[in-house]
Amino acid sequence: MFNKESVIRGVKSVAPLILGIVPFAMISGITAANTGISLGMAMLMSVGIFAGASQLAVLQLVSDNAHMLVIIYTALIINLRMMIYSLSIAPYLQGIKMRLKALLAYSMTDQSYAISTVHFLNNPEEDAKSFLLGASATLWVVWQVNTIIGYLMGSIIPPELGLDFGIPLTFIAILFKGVVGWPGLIAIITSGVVAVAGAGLPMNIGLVLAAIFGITAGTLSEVYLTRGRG
Amino acid sequence: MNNLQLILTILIIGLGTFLFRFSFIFLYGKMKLPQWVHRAMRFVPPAVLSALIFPAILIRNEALWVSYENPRLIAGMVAIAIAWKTKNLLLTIATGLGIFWLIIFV
Repeated sequence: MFNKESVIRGVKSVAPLILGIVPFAMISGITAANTGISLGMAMLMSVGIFAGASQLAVLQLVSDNAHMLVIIYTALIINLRMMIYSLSIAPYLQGIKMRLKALLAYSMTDQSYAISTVHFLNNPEEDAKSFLLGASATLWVVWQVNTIIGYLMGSIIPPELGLDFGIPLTFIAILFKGVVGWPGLIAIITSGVVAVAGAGLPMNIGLVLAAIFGITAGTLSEVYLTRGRG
Repeated sequence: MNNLQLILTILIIGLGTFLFRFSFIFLYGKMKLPQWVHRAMRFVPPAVLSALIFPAILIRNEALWVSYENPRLIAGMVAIAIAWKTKNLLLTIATGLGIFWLIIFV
């Protein structure tokens, strides 16, 4: 049922991003070790949540002795953006079994989502489920393995190495992949400005506002720029 | 927080995050989306990625840090230029990390 070539294309498409994901996965392992939770608990989190930024927030709040509801709330707010990904990628994942939809949803990350949807736009013939599976599964394995390595090597790696910088770099690497001319650039700039301006807002509102403003600016500018050209 | 509470916390977050990811993949087809939504969705990757990138390179300790001494900003700007020019993922990340560590350690 899976197209082997499509799976391999999916794997290859995210392979270069591993360089940025490995350090971040290690950080999540190191932080878990430093928080004092067991390796089993760290892996339950890593497999059960599988969303790096929210996992780090949870660990931070656990070590701050925050209330359980605060931790749950904060993590879910950080992951709310996944709903937009779900809406955006949904058209490509129709006509497949519900179980497979669930598996593809569970394993979808920022990177596998962005790489895949851009690829599907440019390659409408692609077997979407196979491609996305290849992309997501690759990152899943890399994430889990390096979380364990980070946990076990925790004390050896100096924090000033700034390993967290790997993730924004993976985002930068794929930023222009799907950009559609001026409207894409306008979306990027609008969203970036709003995100920085709104960074101090509580509950990650800045990120949500930035996405909304960016998407709106991109769409409106495209409508405006193509007006009269049929 | 004891172990049981932590397990419960993790499971609830895991379930909620899964439901976010699954939401529209599940609902799609059960409802009809207007054409403009499909059009707008093409701008989700650049908009969300940008919203994740710029605070990460410009903000440190909850304050804006625009300075040539900000290693994330310098390395990030170079990486953005390389990504723009070459669209090469590995080159972008490798150069970004290289410059970042060069600034920190030299």
